[in-house]
Amino acid sequence: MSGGGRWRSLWPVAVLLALLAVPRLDLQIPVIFDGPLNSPGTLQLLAVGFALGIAALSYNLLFGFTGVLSFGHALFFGTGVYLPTIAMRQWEWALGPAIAFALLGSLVLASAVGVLAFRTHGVYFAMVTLAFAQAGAVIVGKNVGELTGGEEGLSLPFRRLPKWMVGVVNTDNLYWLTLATLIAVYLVALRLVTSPTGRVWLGIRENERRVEMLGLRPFPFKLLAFVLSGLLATVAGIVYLFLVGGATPRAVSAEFTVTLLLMVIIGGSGSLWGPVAGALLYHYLNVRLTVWAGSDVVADLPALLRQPLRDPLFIFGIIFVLLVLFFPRGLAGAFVGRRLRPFGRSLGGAVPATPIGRSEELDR
Amino acid sequence: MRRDSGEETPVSLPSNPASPAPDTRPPAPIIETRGLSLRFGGATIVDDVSFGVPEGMFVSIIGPNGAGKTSLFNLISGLYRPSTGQVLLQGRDVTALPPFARVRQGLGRSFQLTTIFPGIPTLENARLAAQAGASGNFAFWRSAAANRAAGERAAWALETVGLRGRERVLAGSLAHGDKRKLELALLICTEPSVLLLDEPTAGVSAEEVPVMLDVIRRIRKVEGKTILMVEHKMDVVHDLSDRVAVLANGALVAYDEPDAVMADPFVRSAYLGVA
Repeated sequence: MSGGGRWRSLWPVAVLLALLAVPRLDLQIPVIFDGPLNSPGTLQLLAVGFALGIAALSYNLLFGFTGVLSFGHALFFGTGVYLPTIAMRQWEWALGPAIAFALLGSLVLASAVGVLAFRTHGVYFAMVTLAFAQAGAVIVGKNVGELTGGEEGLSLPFRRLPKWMVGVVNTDNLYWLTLATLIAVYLVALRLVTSPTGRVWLGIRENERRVEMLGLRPFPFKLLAFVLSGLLATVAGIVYLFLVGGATPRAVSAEFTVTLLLMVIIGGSGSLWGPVAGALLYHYLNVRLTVWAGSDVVADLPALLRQPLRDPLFIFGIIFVLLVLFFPRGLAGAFVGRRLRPFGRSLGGAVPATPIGRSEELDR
Repeated sequence: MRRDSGEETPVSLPSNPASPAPDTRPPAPIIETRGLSLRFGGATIVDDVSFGVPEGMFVSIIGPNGAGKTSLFNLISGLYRPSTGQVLLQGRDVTALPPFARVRQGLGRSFQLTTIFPGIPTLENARLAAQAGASGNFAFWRSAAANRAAGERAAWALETVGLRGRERVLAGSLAHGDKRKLELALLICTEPSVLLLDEPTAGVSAEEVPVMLDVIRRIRKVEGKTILMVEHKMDVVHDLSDRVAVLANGALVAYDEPDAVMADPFVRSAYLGVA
């Protein structure tokens, strides 16, 4: 290893320590954050980013590491958001059983959807998963059985939560909880992608026919990836729920799955931490651009500039185009560069990403 | 289609290990087709092909473009289901088995268009193949790198095909000839008893062809594999083969030793274009 190798491996540790310390840092970072670093607003912004990071990471197990494009991932995130809320509010369950219920429900749901959807391939698979997700969104939106609260959503009954999780003053606790969950999920995902099963997933991503002709039936491997990534998305949904304090239909919308896909692409589908970074960046821009678009600076511009810049999505669209243009392999790809990292040895199990248009096609 | 293939005891075949009685008949073929046909609509792609290959033999399959050579391979490896007929592997009817199950029974297959894992390093390609051929593929809580047996087998396979020193290169960045070699390495990692090679020298540069043939010879001699190969280069076919099978319009028109096949007047006119 070259001299840079040592620093490279220290990077994640340094970032981690810094993130852990944030709730105790009374620092002002002008322009980037409104309040000091340890203000509830900033902590909430970061923590929601972590929760979305978990979701993006789970989605990437399927998309980036198995090569399966699903449009139904919001269903499993939504399971983590809705099932505990329903169990606690409508059935008055305690927190522990409510969480277990969500995980079990996700396991069953993901298995069922996976078994049916993996009868198809490629775009058709994506469409079948989309159909299931839309069915979920309709069930939630129509308030079937008076359980979900319909378009209004459902707030979390705070008296059923331990005290340290409730209230603005405890945002730092939720921040640490979410960060700890992110680290745990990251380590689980790292084990998965460097396991024998993870290697078969990569094989399926690269060339499903060859996997078959090595004597393995792809279906159970794809199903396993689908179920495990669904479970981790549910974990993301649960911590997200604690942060935002309730369930809203957006959590099960197809739009949310597309958002996850964007986060993964921004961050880089070839690495584990890329999508987490992508999610943080996306969430940050989503929140901050809204603030910026409503600021006086924009209001004073001539109409021609003011009108598009008023819309945060317009700015976001430009940023997204620039990112894809200059970092086609995402933020992770930009950092890893062209160097081939030792396979599976680095933190993040960095698998050299093959972007859209697999090199296999070049042969044919 | 009969449903009994998995459990079936070999039908009246002398090599059945359950009946080791002295037998004067020739050894049972390790791979055999019986009345194998493939029809799409009105077109007959493979027409009633019956032949057997004894263990350890090298058989080349030749024939003009569209003769049904690759289709025959697809039938044997299970990518196509035959319209009629059977495929037997080591005396067992595998006609109803999907491709991966046939591989598990000892069939390895390379493709005319290189079929490897382009986005991962060469060594990891072979490692995955070695791991796939063994058990423990669902152990998602374990470390893949801890499987030393797979690592050693992968290193051995790369050495055998002459890809040593290329371990860390992404398979997709290998030169074309090296990709073809890697595909052979993937095959031998799964320890097949029969190899189906679909034009292993296709697209390989003239200097590289002898290297490729050496690799195939080594796999054959050292590993004692049975090999079926689709090939166009007649000198290659003549040198390597114990027998040559000639396909024309989907039908097997000759199946004999190379010299005899080359001398066959029908083959000479139909395939070699010699009057």
